[in-house]
Amino acid sequence: MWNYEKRLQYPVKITQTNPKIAQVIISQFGGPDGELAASMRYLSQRYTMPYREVIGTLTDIGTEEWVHGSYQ
Amino acid sequence: MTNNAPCRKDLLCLINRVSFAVDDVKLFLDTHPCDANALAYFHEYSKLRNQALKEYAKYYGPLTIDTTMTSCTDRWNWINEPWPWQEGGC
Amino acid sequence: MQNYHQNNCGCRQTTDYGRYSSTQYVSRPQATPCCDREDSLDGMPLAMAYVPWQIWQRIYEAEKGFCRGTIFEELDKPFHGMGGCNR
Repeated sequence: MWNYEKRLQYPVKITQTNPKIAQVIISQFGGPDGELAASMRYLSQRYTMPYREVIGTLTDIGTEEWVHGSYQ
Repeated sequence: MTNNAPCRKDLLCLINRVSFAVDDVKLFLDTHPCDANALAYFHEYSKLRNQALKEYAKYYGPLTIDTTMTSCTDRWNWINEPWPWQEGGC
Repeated sequence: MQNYHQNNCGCRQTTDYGRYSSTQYVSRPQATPCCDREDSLDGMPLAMAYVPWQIWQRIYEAEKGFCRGTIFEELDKPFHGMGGCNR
């Protein structure tokens, strides 16, 4: 299970909104090869992984990709 | 309250930097679990991070559920603004 | 008749394959070399991917690591466009 921290990993300050760029960013995150899909694969593949080092890596990278979702 | 409260922005800055260092060394340690240098680095920055989180919670409200104890004695201020996507939240 | 052959390096230089019938293919030595770039992997077995084992070294200060997006100097590889050419 996961902990929530009430901060962004990297500060964001948007001075000018840009819907076109937002569209690109969302497609990178949510599309078929996006980070969300990758995160779900990493987190799901842990359960059949025979090596503890790889379980750790899949957990931590899958978690990291979730953080990117918070930027949406 | 006290006059020597640390600057909120500076403290949050520190938390971001040491937390990122912890995040990165954590990934390294996943594949190098016996690396003494990496372990020492992890302990050093973890300590800095925990101290900074406690201090932040004391003056400005909790950033994690584990630091609510420092902060929410008579009121559950975990729900207080700002949230990260709001003004002043990051 | 010359064939325009776009090879992998995209330099689009032409090579003259000479006349050939449908049953026979004759290639001529190329008048000018197609790609003069040095290959640092020259001599390595083909079609192998590799990931060398990382060791703990050249760690950035926390401030710099945060700004670069990694605490490992060896993993600090900013994108400079295709082929590293700012194209």
